[in-house]
Parts: sequence; structure tokens; C-alpha cells
Amino acid sequence: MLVGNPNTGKSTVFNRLTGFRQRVGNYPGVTVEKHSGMLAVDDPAVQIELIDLPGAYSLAAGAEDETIVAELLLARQAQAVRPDLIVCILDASNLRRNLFFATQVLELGVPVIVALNMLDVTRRRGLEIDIDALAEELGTLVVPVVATRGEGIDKLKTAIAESIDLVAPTRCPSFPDCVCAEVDGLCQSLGLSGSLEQCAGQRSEALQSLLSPGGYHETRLVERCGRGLAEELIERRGRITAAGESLVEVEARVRYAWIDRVVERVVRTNSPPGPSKTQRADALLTHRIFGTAILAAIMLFCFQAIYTWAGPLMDVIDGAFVSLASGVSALLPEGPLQSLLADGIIAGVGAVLIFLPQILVLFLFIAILEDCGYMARAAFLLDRWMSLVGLGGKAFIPLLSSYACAIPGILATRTIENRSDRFVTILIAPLMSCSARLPVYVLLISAFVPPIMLAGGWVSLQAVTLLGMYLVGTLVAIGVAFVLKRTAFRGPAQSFLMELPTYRWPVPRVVLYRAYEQGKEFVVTAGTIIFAVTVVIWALAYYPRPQTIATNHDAMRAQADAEYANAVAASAEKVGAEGLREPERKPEVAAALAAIRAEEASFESEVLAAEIEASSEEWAEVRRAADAKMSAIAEKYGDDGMAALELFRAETKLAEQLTEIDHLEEGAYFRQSFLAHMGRWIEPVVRPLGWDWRIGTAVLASFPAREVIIATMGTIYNLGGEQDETSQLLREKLHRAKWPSGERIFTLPVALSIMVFFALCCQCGATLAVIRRETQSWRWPVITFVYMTTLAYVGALATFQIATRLAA
Amino acid sequence: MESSDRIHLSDAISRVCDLRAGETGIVVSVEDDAREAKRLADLGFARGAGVEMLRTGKPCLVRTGGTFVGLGERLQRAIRIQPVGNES
Repeated sequence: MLVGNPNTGKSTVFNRLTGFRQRVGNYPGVTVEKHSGMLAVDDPAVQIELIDLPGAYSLAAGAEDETIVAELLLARQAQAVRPDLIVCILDASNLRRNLFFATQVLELGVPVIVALNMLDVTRRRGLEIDIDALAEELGTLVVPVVATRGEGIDKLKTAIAESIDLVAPTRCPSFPDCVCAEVDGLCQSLGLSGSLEQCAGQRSEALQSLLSPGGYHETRLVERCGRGLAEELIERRGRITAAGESLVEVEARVRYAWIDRVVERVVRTNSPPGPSKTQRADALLTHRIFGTAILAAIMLFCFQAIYTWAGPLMDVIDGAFVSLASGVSALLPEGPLQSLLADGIIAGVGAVLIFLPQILVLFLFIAILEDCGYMARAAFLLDRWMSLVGLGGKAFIPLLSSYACAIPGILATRTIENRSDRFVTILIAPLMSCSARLPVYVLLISAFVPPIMLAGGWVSLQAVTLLGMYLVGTLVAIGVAFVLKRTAFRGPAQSFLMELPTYRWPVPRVVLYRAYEQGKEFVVTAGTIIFAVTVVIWALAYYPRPQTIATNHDAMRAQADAEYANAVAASAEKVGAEGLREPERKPEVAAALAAIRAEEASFESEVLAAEIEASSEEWAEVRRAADAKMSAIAEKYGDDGMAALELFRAETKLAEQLTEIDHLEEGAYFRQSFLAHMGRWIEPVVRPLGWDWRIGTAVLASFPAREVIIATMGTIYNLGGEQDETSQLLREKLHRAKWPSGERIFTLPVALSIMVFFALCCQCGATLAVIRRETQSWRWPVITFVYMTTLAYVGALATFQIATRLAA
Repeated sequence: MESSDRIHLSDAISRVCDLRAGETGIVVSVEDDAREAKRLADLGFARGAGVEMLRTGKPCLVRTGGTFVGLGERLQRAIRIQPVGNES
């Protein structure tokens, strides 16, 4: 097992020892990641599993990470599970503080190897460490390493491989008699017998339970041994205090006195220590004004990068999934299987994976900032502001990440030690406006918010509305946090307590590996749940398949085919039937047809480029010009040309009609589906929000993943499911949708009410799954879902009612 | 003027939050009722340890030994110290 203080380069040492081959899991019952891997040595006979424990300052286990360490090193020993060997990593540049934890580890009755890391930093600071003297004082093997450069790692590997049957060290500080007597007494009443070495772990546990009233060890011990023990502990503590010892300080005093003696012997100062680089950097970086400004700049840069760097990759993924889906559609016969694969699974998984680039870039930044030590400064600077809401500074980064996607945000809450702070952060993270909401905002804002310029042409009303949507989520989140901290998660605010570690250059391999690891986790967690939910929603939207719809639309297709045949027959009169039909087609007709098609192709690309900006009038203008050109080309070939043009037009018309019929059929099926029935069924509920059943259905379908609403809208309005937020057609269709009474459905208040609903609702199955996993209970995802849905409904209701009154 | 009062070891017990930037104190005790008291002590804020205030505020930035720690308001008050004059 690898143990050590936080920021001692433990993970780097671990990665070097295992050669990056490791498994990541979770410790049972808690959410701290467990990294384990085999020691990477050439000798296949050596099979040593290494476990990387979280960083800890003390076995007293004040933070969640530390409880894992305490659990594995102490409590498990009661069940006779103990590690064969502990590798304790010390930061040589801060030996004194690191030795505190080391002395606790030395007492566990388990062989220990000390890896002295960061000797390069130590030397630069003018400190010299006598390794042999340290080994002698600690009674262990001491291996000097520089983990960032891989120095000494081979030596450490050999030491680990060879020393499995080392004896446990015995040199450790001794406690005052009054404490020892109580520890002995407690051990007796716990029924411990055997040699000191055998029950060393239990003795440590007894000591920690005595010294931390109400702490983790007391709780565990009382759980195991019953209530009577709690009273005994109080009694024994009373005797220690009566002897004039402070429970809080005695351990620190005893250990640091011993450590100071060791440090004095082992460390030689060669040059007077001036302010270190870290101190000079912190003079600026923790400055209330400049530091905060730099932090803001860094965050701005990160977010800019998330959107710009990830953009092209997202297009690639999107394209890949679209072609995969159409490939599958082409390969498989039409029917449920094809639809399930193409529209359900591939589209659903694609909807998750499209966010992967953003998430990877975000994780990469978080990993870099964490690895270089800046994250602690950010928390330090932001604690003032976050405490206004009742949260600590560490909640800031997870919440900020949630603006890209709530899932990495929720994963990032693992750094928050305080349980109630962590849960509140998890609960409000999905309220941050994630990037999946953006397409919905873009579609509705561009369709319904007039592009009026405000403030003398500086900002548009559309931009203000978009900003407003982000604000809605944020303000509500602040309110929810405020309420939660005063109700369900009441309790004295945790006071800020965080080490600001020495700055260091991030190790690229470690940073990349961590980003990769978390990206993988996202894909697995989010992918699985989305996969499952997508199948359900797909089935609800696909079934039943009434035969009448197929019959009706097949009739329409037959009619289109007949029209095409008529048109071909009409143009055949010009050149004779043989002249048109392949393979005997006249070369002149073929040439004219090729020229016309080439013209059409160039026109298509022109339209594609202009489509997003061009209005429908401009679009028609371009279309007319293209038609004129085609006629000109056709005229050059005379009758052959005219025949080719007619043939071409008939072909185009047929293709258009068939697509339209497909969309109509798709829409007809959808309107018949279980999902649409559910949508009609809930219409009375969503009527007060200004929605009709179609909006209700689309919103229902978007509960597993909010971004599908646009595709669903496309299907409902017979445009096919492949619409995106920039689609002109969809915007126009939305404008034209009417209530049975003839009034327009989509008005500004309705658009606003939908957007507010999306801003506040937890329409993301993956987020709920991650909450379930991180909190280890179904309770919190259910609560999140219920409270957010309620808020969304109330918010949308208020928005629609107020906006309608204002408009009237 | 004020700093001259602090040149010698003052008998008055004050707290970390009373230190100004650049000033140093020696830890006398950590209040028992602070929930994080043991954590503070284990981190090195134990009797006799020097605490240098680097940046005041909530949280403040202090140094003890080679460790730089940010301390929130309540913890600054929980650590009782004996101020020593600016050593320079």
C-alpha cells in the first residue's frame, strides 16, 4: 500500500511503479477512488499488487479521504486483514510535517519502506538530508526518489520486491504514561491479547478513538463493540485530562518533539532559506485583487478553450454517428431493428459522446490546475464568495465545470471533504446551464426573440435573453443552496482549512492519464444509462405501428411514382422513348443531364454556405437564378437538353416528394405512438405553461437527455428527426403551428416558458446516474429530480403567466 | 509605533486572527471545542510551533514550519498564540 501526505507526488510514484497499468474502482460505501495495479517488474515470478491510498495528514481521519486510509490501515486489522508492506512517501522539502503521519504509520506493526520524494526541490532550497541517519532513526529502509523524473524508482521497485518479509519498525515516539495506561486499559476491555506487534493496529485505533471525541474511530469502535464503549471512552478521556494532558494536543506534542529531534539530526541547512519560488508566486497569485483577476482570466481561457478546441472534434463525432446511423439504416432492412439501432441506440449514445471532447478538455484543465497546485489557491481566493452562499471555496470548481456539463462537475465534488457541502454542491450542480441546453436556447431565441439592439446597438435582445437563461439557473442554484444549508444540511459552517502545496510543473503523462481515466468513466457511466433510457424512449416513440399509416403513405408513394412516370413519358415524346431509357440513352441527353447535375451540385454547396444566414426570400432568389442557369444549359442542347431538364426536374421532384412522405409517415407514426398519447394525456398539466400536447410530448421525450428535444420537434412537425438548432425550416414550422382555435401556439411567452423549464429541469439521465453513484443512494437522485422538476414547472408557469400579462 | 509594542515577547495571549501580515506568533494552545482542533494540531499547529501570517483575511494565509495553510475565520480564532516581534 502506498500512503503519504497529500501533494507528496504519491500518484506519480504509483504510476511509475505500476507503469500506468492500474485499475480504478471505488472503495465500498464511499466515493473515494481506489487505484490499484501490479508492480511493474521484469521478473514474472514477482506478483505484487499495489494500492494507492488517498493522501492523508493523520490517521485521526478528519476528512473523507482520510477515513479510507484509516479504514484500510486500522479498522480492517480487527478482521486480521493487514497489508504486507506499506510504502510511505515523504516530501523531503517538508520533512517535519510529513514525518507526523509517518510516525503514525510506523506504529502499525507492518513493515514500512520510506520513499523520500522531491529531493531535487530540497536541494534547490539548500537543504541536505542524511538518508542513512533518517533510515536509522526511523528503523526502516529509506529510498530517495525524484518521481517526476523517474529517478530512484527502480531502486524502490527492487526494495519492494525484496522486502515483503521485512520486520516492522519499532522506533517510535512514546506517549505520556497517563495516555499509555488508558490505551492499554482500552485494549484490554476490547479483549485484545497477543504480542504488541500483532495488535499494534488496534492499539493505534484505541489511541485515536481516545483522542478524537466524536471522531471517526470512536464511531467505528462503538459500532463494533456497543454503546458501553462510548461511556468507557468518556471515562478514560476524563482521566487523561485530569492528569493535565490535552486530548487535542498530546499526540501532536509527543510526535513533533520526537520529529524535531530527528529532523535536527538528519537535515542540514546549507544556505539561509530565502522566500521560495512558491512564496513569491503566491505573493501575487493569492492577492485579493490581482490573484482574483488572474483566476478569472484562467477560467475564461479554460472555457474559451473548451468551446473552441472541442468544437471541431464534436463536429467529427457528430458526423461519424450520423454516417454510422445511415450506414446501419442502409444495411438493415426497414423495421424495428433498424430503427432501434439507428434512431435509438446510435443516436442516443452519440448524444452522449458528442460531449466527450468538451469533457476531456475540461478534465485536462482541472488535472493540470490540480497537479501544479493552483486549485488550492483558487479555493482559497473563492472561499469568501462561496461562503456567502454557505458553501466552501472548494465548491467553486465543480460548479463552474457544471456550466460545461454537470457530470464532470459532480465528479469533481470529490475534493470537498465536508459531506454536507459536498451533497449541496451535487444537488445544485445540475442547475448550472450546461452546454446541452444551449441548442434549445439557440433555436427558440433565434425564432422568437426579435433581434432588437439595446443600449445603443451594443447588445442585442437575443444575447440578453441568452444571458438571462444562464442567470436563471445560477440564481436559482444560489437560492437552493441557501435553503438547503439552512434546512436539510444545517450545521456549523466548515471553516476553511487547506494546505497550499508547493507549486510544481505538472507531469504531462500523469495529467493526460488522469484526464483519460475520467473521460473513460464518463463514457461508461453516462453511456450505460443513456443506452438503457434511450431504448425505452425509442420504444415509446416507435410503437404501436398501425398498418393503416403504412398503407396510406405507400399509396402516396405510389402516386408520386406514377407522376414521375407520367413526366418521363411526356419528355420522352421529344426524343423518343429509347433516347431516355438507359442503357440506350442518347449521348446528347446524357451529356445535358450531367451538365445540369453539375450546375445543381455547385448551387447546393452555395446554398449550404449561405443557408444559416440567408432569409427565405434570399434563398428563393438564389434558387431562381440557379433554375435560369439550368434552363440556359438545357437550351444549348436543343430538344435533347429540354428532355434532360424535364427528366432532371421529375427526378428531383420525386426525391423531394419521397422524402416528404417519409417525414409525414414518421410524423404520423409518432403522433400515434405511446409517447404522443402520454403527451396528450398530460396536456391539461402543461396547458397553464402555454404548451400544447406536441410541446408536452417533446419535453417528455427529452427527460433522459434534454438535447433530443430538437430532433423530436423535427419529427413532430414532419421534418424528420435530423433537424438541428440552426434549421430554418424548423423555425418556420414552429412559427406556423396553431392551436385548434387558430391562434399561434409559439409566442414569445411560450418560448420563454419552455426555455425556463429547460433551464431548471433535470432532463439528464446520465447526471442522475452519476448522482446515484456518487452519493451511494437512490435518495439523492430522486430528490434532485423531484425538486428540479417542480422548480421547472413552477418557473415555467410563472414565466408564461407573467409574460402573457405583460404582453397583453 | 504599534509595532514597537510587539518587539518583545508579549505576555498577552492573542489569536492568529490578531496577527498582521508579516508578523509571527508562537502557538500556545488550540481551543478544544473547535471540531477541527485535532486536525490543526496534527498539521503542526501545536504548542511551541511558530505561525507566520502571510496574508490576513478570511481565509488568511499562514505558514507553520514548511507548510502553507489557508485558515478560515473560526480556525484563526481557535488558535491561541503569543505574538513575537517581527524578527527582521
